[in-house]
This record gives sequence, structure tokens and C-alpha cells, in this order.
Amino acid sequence: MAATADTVERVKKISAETYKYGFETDIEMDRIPKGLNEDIVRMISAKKNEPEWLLEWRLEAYRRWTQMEEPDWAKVSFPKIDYNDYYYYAAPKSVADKPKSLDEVDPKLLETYKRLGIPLDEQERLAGVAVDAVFDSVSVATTFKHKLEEVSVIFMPISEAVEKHPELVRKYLGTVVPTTDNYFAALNSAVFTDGSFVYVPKGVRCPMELSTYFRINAQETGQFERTLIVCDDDAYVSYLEGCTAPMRDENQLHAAVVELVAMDNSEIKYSTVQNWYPGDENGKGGIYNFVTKRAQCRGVNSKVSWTQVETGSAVTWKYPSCVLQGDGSQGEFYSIAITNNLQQADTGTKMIHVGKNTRSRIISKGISAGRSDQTYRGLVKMLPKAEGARNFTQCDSLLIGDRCGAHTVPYIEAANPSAAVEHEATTSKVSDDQLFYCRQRGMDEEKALALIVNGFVKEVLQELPMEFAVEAQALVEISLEGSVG
Amino acid sequence: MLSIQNLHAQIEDDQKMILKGLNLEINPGEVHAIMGPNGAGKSTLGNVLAGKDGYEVTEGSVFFKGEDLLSLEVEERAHAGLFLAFQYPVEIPGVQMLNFLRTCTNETRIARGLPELNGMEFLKLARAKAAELKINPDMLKRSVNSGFSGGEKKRAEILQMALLEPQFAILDETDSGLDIDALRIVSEGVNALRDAKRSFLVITHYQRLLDHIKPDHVHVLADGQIVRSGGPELALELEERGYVHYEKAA
Amino acid sequence: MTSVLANLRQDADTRFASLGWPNRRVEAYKYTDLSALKQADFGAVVANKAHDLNALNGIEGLTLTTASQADAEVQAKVGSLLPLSDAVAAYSTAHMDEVTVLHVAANTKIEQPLILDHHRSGKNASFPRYLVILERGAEADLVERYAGDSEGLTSPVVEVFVAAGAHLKHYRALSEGSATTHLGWTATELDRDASYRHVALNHGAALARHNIRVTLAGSGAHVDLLGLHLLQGKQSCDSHTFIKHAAPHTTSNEVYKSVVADAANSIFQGKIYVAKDSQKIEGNQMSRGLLLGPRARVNNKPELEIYADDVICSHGSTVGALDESALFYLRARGIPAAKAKQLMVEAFIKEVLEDLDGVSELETHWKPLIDAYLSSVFSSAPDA
Repeated sequence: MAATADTVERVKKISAETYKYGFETDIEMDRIPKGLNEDIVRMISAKKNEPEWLLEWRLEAYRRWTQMEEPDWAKVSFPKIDYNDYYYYAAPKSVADKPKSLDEVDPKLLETYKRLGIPLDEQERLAGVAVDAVFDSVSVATTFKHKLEEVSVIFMPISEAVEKHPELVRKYLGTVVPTTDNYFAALNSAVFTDGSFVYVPKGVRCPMELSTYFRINAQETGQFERTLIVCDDDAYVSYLEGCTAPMRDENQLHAAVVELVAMDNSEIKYSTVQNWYPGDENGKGGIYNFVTKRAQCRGVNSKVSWTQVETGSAVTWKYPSCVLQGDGSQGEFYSIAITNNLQQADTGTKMIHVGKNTRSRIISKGISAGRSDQTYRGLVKMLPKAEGARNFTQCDSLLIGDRCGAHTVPYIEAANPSAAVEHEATTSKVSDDQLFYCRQRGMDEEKALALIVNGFVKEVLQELPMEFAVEAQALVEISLEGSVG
Repeated sequence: MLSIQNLHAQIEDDQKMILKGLNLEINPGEVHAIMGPNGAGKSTLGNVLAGKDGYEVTEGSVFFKGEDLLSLEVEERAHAGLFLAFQYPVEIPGVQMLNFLRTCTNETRIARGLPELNGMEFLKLARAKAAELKINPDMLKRSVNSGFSGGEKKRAEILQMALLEPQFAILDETDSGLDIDALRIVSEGVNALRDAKRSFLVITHYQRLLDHIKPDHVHVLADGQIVRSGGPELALELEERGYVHYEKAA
Repeated sequence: MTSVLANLRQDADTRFASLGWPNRRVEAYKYTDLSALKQADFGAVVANKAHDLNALNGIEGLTLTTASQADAEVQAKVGSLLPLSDAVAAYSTAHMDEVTVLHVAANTKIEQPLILDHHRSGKNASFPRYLVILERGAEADLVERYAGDSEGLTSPVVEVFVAAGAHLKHYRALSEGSATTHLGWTATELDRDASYRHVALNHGAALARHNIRVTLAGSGAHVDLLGLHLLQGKQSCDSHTFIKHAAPHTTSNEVYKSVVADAANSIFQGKIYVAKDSQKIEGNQMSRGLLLGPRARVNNKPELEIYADDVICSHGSTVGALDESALFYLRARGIPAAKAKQLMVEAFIKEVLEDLDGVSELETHWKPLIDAYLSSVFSSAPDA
């Protein structure tokens, strides 16, 4: 036991030094005044040259938001947020000139992304992955645009899509997550700035991975990304988002909305590597990550998979969900969530089975360390018409140390007698026998723990696109650093 | 090589004394067998030597190559060349055998001041060792011990021993749960590793393993002490007469 | 009524006044909306005691008394296990009349079951209230029955203290008529090395809610919670269980099975809670629902809330229909469909009752209820 206690001690000591994305880019910013009111909403809309309908849409969302209350049912606690104490728009000045190609992008920005491991320039950029780089409130660059245009795949910042493809954006925006869906979705609808828009036309299999990299840089600024992905009949796309932020003592707000629409026989694979700054070992600073992600499988036999590796953020509130409307449609949720120090995460998924013979699968692996608290919260709902629907859920939680908490809160609602739901959950610590076995073979305790934890999350890691699986595995280890190699 | 003097050990939780003054000297190249009735403390001896949590040494000493073994951490004992083949090898779901073996091997090499082996080098080495031990290389792709049959688990233990090249190996009831063919393969693996510098401590309840791994010395462990020592003929005698006599003594 | 009890009652009344009947927005009542009870008229409050309590007089080792007559120590136990933050607990306590106390002396084994039998009809409301105390090393079987065709409300509260090394088996059968509202509470605390087995049969009432709260307060304590929901018509039945591992080396095992015919609604919400520093815990829970009717519903919410690391906790939950291939197999062997289904349902519920063979309460009282349920469900089922 002595050795295990030692490990726990080391986990506790994990310092912010391990967060290697904590640097800040010194760049001249264009901001609108602090605070939130109708004028601010108008200013954001004006900054983006938006059409009248979108401004009205935002204002309506804002008005509804002012009448809503912050949800309190999640198992997280944090000081009351003063929504007037944030900047709702911050963009590098150099972006205002709308650089037409990567050559015109501010070298400081290119350097920033390079340091984050996301080189954007022609020579170094990741092969086979198109990247949209969002810096605070704006997209600063999108790679492989032309190559994607050749196959008629639209991949661009959502503000650009509003200008270039207004009919598509207007048709789908807010149809999966209505503006008043919840408090944070309403806030996002009022003040969203950038995020990606993807449209894959009928019969097209997107030839490369699409990826958006979200970076919060400016102080006291909230980031409100809005992403909309539409996959038309028989189309396929794999999309990945990554997120990081500088280390700061203040808490910054990230309230995103992601909407996915999958039509007949189409498939969307959506992966997230969430590594926002988690705060320091005393719980100071870090991002509040309040995110609404939902997919509608509208078409028959359509499929959406959510895969998430959640290691960052001070507080996470996130439930990527699937509404399985089309007969035979499928939803999947694969999740690894790691909390350490004083992090809190309340995350899980909702699978709403509407259509016949719909299928869902949930694999969730949670690891709590330090003094953190983590909750899996999930809903599996079989509606009366979901003939022959099936769900399987497996939730495993691993505890490292005796000062953290791990909670599992599944809701199972079945109203069709031919539907079947199967849920299993376990909670335990890393087995002493496994640790002893590894150490007898020469590994020190950190290495042994890293190896065992990696085995624990393997089933989810292998769902990630190849390009990111290795990075994600490294991230899993770093997140528990101090205890694991 | 290994010198155990007056070793007393108890279980931490209930303070039940298991080893009550055990003495044993093992020289380089020797194979010693420890036999004894159930509950005599055989597995405890292996666990205490390897440094498993949950046991407390209350008296006595153990020197390994002149060094105080009991002051070393579990992995330091492994690096020093002590290997325990588990009676019940532990399953680690999701961890690929190859990755596990490479991590073990490289951690040990680092500790011994040897360069690490890269992926290709290690794969070659692991495949060669597996072939020597007649182990299907597919085993390397599976999760550590997960879903292995009893025979596969024990063969995997011997493969680990072959890769880590210990100077002193403890085989804890390696014969348990093996059929005759598996027993022969495992024993051949062990015999192949025997040389003038490497010593073994074979813990077993039955004599049949000693038909395959010929010991130099045989000891009877009963009630926490070695009550009798002799040559290979002692094992045969035990096979014939059983442990009844010693259980009574205990 | 003594001032201690009167104060408790007053306190509960105040609490209920501010709580009101919970609607679905109250998480614990997410699937059982009681807000409509605001308008309900349950009639006069009657008969707060089991009707055959006298039969318990004279049992050796048992003291049968009331809280008013008991000493201060016993009085202080009344309401001490019941969270008045729960509206049902507050409402029932606010209407509590006398508390019947069953006190089993230390190291006594009572052979005959202690039966609390409630049978009511007419439009009225009843708030039976019991305090059961097993002293150190005692052993007893407790039987609770609720039957009759009342159109009113039954809202019983049973608080149980099982002292060190004592063992209690508790069988609770609910078979009230289809016009009754049943809102019950069972709250139990176990001391060191004590054990408690609670077996519940929920078969009756239009709207039923049964809260069970077990606190494992001493090391080595163990609880089994076993439950059956056998529902039909438009019944709604909600079992809400909470097992708190408040001491190290405690274990729990929970199995709930629901058979839901017609348009009935079965709800199971069960939480295993492991307090900080409660190490070496094992807690397992399984809830299974079987949907037989086209408009039948099952809502399950198993839950783990864990603040210690040296634990092995698990829960499983399944909902589905009868296995088609097994059904086909039975029919291929010549068993008519309705009979085959009945056999499979019997097998499904057997797990809960399995090691209860020889318990007389089950033989004499439960079995007829279960048989009646099965024959009523399967005689009306179309042979397809």
C-alpha cells in the first residue's frame, strides 16, 4: 500500500508545467467592449457583416436567454459567473484584412499553431487533414480549401459560410439544437463567433480528415464556437476538433454548440481531443467548458459516432447526443474523460431512439485522480415507435487516490416492448495485483500505472482517426503526469 | 547468490505469522526445489522475496548478490535480476503483450545501463524467443494474459523470463493447471535457461515437475520453516509418503 | 402523544407546507409526478395500525409498545432515519398518530414472523408508523402486508435499527386495489456485522412509491435488497432505493425485477453511495425490466456515487421483451404461447425469490398473489 500511496502523492503534485500549451501569443487584438447586451449582439453581427435574418435570430436568442436560468442539476460547482465581465469578441487585428491565402496570414499566428503541433503552411501541414484554425473569435486560416472544392465539399468558417452559402446555413442552423434548447445554447446562439461549417454533398466521401483547432488566447474573453456539419445522402465525413488555451488564473468561458445532420445512408464521425487549460493544482484558473453537441440522424441507415478524449477544462458540462430518427440509423458514443487536481466533469451522452431498428452503443471510460470529481450522465430513451431498437452501454470508472469522486448516473427510459436496452457500469481502483505484476517485471509504478490506464482506455482510443490516436494516447499519459510516464 | 537467514514474515492485515525462521542458501547455477503441504508458506516466500505489498518482515534478512534485498523496491529487485513466475499471472485488459514485454525489457535495460531496444529490434527479439519456446507469435498481439488458457499463461511467464534474463528466478507452482504437454514445453523453456550463473527456486506441491526440471537440492517447507533438506531423492520420497508426517509436525 | 413526537409532527408539517407535492422537476420524482395529489381527496384519516397487532403480544423476547410509552432513547429514534426533505416522508410524518414499537431483546432469536397486516377499504387515509429495533445479536423476520380496496391513501413509514451482529429479514408485500395510492417509506440503519434482507413484492395500488434507505453504519454490515414489480393495467410503481456505505468493509447486493403488462409504468431508481474514507466496499446492483404490453413502460435510473477508491461497485440494467428464440423453442416443443410466456416470466422473477424457499410468508401469502397476477396477464394475452 505504501507504494500506491506514494503514487497518489505524486498525482497530487502534478504541476501546471505539464500543460505544454499554456503559452500566450502576444498579438494586437481587435475587441468590442466588455459585457453582454443587445448592442453587443448587434456589434458582433456587424463585425461579421451578417444578414438581417441572422441578427434577428441572435437577438431573439439573447432575449430568451435573459429569461432563462443557469442549469444547476449537473454535479459541478463553481462561483457564479458574471456574464458581463467577459469580452464576447476578440480577433487578431491582422485578420480584419481578411488574408486571402496562407502567405498573408500573420506569421505570429502561424507560429502559434506550429507550436501547438498544427503547422498550417504548405510544406509542413499534416498530410490528409484539412485544418480550420480558430483563434479566439475568428477563423484565421483554412487549409486544403481548393482540394476540397474539387470534390464539392464545403469546409469553411461558419461566418464565411453565412456569406457564401446563406441558403444552406439558414436551412440547418438551429434545427438540431434550437436557440432555446438550454441556457448555454441560448447564450451561444446570441453571441457565437466562429466555428466550422461542413457540407458534404450527396454521394461524396470526403477524401480527407477535416479538423478545426480552437485556440483561446485573449484574456477575459469567452469563446463561443458554432459548428454545423451536414452530410447529405450517401456521404461520409470524418471531423476532428482540438482545443487549447493559455494558463491563466482567471476562469474563461467556452460555450459551444455543435450541430450534426446526417441524411440517408450517410455517416459522420466526429472526434474531439479536448485539452483546454484545466487550472493549476489548487484549482485556480482553467476553462469552463459548457458545450451542447447534438446529432440528428434524419436519414434511414444514417450513422453518427462521437468520440471524445476529455482531459482539459476546469469544469466540463457536455453531453454529445444522437437523435436517431431515420429507421435503421445508428449512434455511437466513445468517451475517455480524465480529471485530476480539482477538475470537475459532468459528461455523457443521450441516445434518443425514435425510428425503427435504430441502434446505439455507448462506451465510456472515466478516470478520476487528485481531488477531482467526475460524473457520467447518460440517457437512453426508446420512444413508443422505436420498434426493434437496441442499445448497449458500458461505463467504467477508475479511481486513483482516495480524495476523488466517480459517479455514474444513467437514465433508461423504454416505452416500446420490442426495444432492448443493456447497461453495465463498474467503478474500482487500479488493481494492486496488476501493479505488482508490472513492477515485478521491472516497471516503476508510474510506468505501470500508465500502461494499465492505457489498457483501460484502449477500446475508445482505437476509435480515433489514426492521425490523432497517437497524440491522444500521449495526452492521456500527460494528464496523469506525476504518476504516469 | 541468495542468502536467507532466520526470515520471519506475517500478513499485514491480520498479523498472522506465515514464515517462522526460514533459512536458505542458494549458489550460482543451482536449482533448489521447495516442496510442502498447502498453507506451509510456499507462495508467501516467493511474494516476500519479490516484495509484494501486504507482508511484513518482522525478523531476519535476505541478501541477494551481497545486497540487502528487503530494502529494495519491487522493480529494483527485478532490475537486480530477481524474477517471479506467478502462480496466477495477472490479466491486464487492453495492454498488448508486445508493448508490455518491450516496456519491461527496456525498463530493465535502462536500469542495467544498456541501450533501449527500438520497436523493430524488440519485435525481432521477441519473435525469436517465442519461436524457441514454441509460442505462437500471435500471442504477442493479444492483451496481457487476457483470455489466455492456463498453459498459455505459464508459457508467457517463461517468455518473459527468457527476455528479462534474470539471474535468479522463482517459479511459483508453475506446474499448476498444466497438462503433460504444456508441462513439458514449459520445463524445456526453463531448462534452456539453466546455466552456471543462473539459479532457480522451484516452488511446487507435486513431484512431477521435478521429473522435468531436475533440482540440485530439495527442501521441505512446513509451518513456515524448512524442516528437511536433501537431494532429488527427497522429492521421490515425498511423492510416495505424502506430507502427512509434516502436516502433523506443523 | 408526547411533546417529542408532537414536535416532530409539527416540524414535518412545516416542511411539507414548503415542499408541496413534488412534480417531475424534482429529480427524485422525475418519473412519478405527485403534483396532482394537491387536488386529491383521500377522505378521513383512519386506522393507523396493523389490525392484528395483538397477535404479537406475549412473544418471548419481543416488547410491543408505543413510542409515547417508551423511554426517551427510543423516542429519539423516531424519525431519525427519515429525511424530511422528501415530501412523502414529511407528509406521512405530519399525519403520524402513534408509533408502534417492536423491540427485540439482545441475543434473542424470534422464530415466528412478526406480522404487520394492513387491510383497508373505503375512502380514507392511513399512516401506519413503526419503529423496529433489534438489539445486539438478535434475529427476527418482519412481515409487512398492505391489501384491501381502499380508494384513499396508504402512507406507511417503517424505521428499523439493526444493532451489532443482529439479523433481520423483512418481507414487504403490496397488493392494494387499483384505486389506492400508496406512498411508503422504509429506512434502516445497520451497525457492525449486522445484516438486513429486504424483499419487496409490489403488485398492487394505482400509484405506488416505495422509498428505501439503508445506511451501513458499522464495519462488516451487509444488506440485500430484492424487489419485484408485477404490474398491469394503468398501474405506476416506483421503487426508489438508496444504499449508503458509511463504514469500511461493508457490502451490498441489490436485485430488482419488473414485469410490466398492458400500459403500466415501472420505475426503479437505485443509488449506491460510498462515503469518503469508506474503503474496502463491495456494492452490486442489477435492475431488469420485462415489457409485455404494447404500451408498457420501464424507467430505470441506477446510480453510483463514489468518494472512496478501494471499492468494487457495479450496476447493470436491462430492459426488453421476452427472448423470441426461447419462446419459439418452447412452442416448438408443444407448449402453447401463453403458457410458454408464463414459464419464461416465472423464470425471470425467480432470481429474486430463489433462495427464499421455505419462507412461509412467500408460500402462504406471496405465491397466490404472483399466481393470480400471472394468470390474469396471460389469460387475457392473445395466443400469438
